[in-house]
Amino acid sequence: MKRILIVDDSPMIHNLLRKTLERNGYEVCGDAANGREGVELYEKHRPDLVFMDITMPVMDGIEAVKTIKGKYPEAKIIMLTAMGDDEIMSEALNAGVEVFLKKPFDDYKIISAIAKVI
Amino acid sequence: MMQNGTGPAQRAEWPVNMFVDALKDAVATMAGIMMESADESLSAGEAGMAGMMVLSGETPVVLMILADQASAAGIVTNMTGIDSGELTPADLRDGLAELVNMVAGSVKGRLAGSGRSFKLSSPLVVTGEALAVYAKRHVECSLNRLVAGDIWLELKIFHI
Repeated sequence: MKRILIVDDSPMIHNLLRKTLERNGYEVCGDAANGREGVELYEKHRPDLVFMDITMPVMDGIEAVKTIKGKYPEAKIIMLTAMGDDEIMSEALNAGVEVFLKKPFDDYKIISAIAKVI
Repeated sequence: MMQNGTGPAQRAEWPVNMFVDALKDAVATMAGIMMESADESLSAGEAGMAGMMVLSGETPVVLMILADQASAAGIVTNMTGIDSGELTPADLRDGLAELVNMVAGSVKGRLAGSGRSFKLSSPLVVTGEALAVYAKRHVECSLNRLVAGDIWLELKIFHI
């Protein structure tokens, strides 16, 4: 079973994503509330995929992506954010994310994105 | 809900309908609830929660989404599958913060390339009883009311 780490400061998004992922046969191996926790949990669990928000306290998602990708270039990361403009999307893609998804999202959007990455 | 200086329903500088569409889309996609625009003259009830963000730029505005506790619970229940009786106040605040964040982010994305540039603040949520908004000076306010059954939301844009 593929293991996925969720990094988002919203408990509601964690809840919603977890249900979608588990319903579709994925295991959520960790929940991080900010980028720094995300980096720590990535190193601990080495998941197959990470869902990463951008705007978070302590360390934002772009910085977390750069940190993870700097140490683990093979890491697979999907950015999932409400910040929908091209400038931020470009910054995220340059940081190394595989897919950039905009909130709001539904099951189809999430599962289709995963299929492109792992 | 009261405010000083409520102005015309729409102001040319900001595509208010884009905010309305973004809110309808966010609620439909995340909660499966199809909200419809309602008559603005009808009272929706007393708001107990308001999610807000500042959109700063050439013509700054405060985006505000208001609801009562029952409407917020209805939406968050549909988003998460958690029974409304089990939702905590923190769940409702988080849900409303995410909703206003999605609307602002969506509008920013939709306006990308239009030449309009603005920055988004972090979302804030205020809770209380019969929330009221007062402005120190005349502030135009666009009001749009959305309903789906007993669930209602008010979208207000204050041109600060």
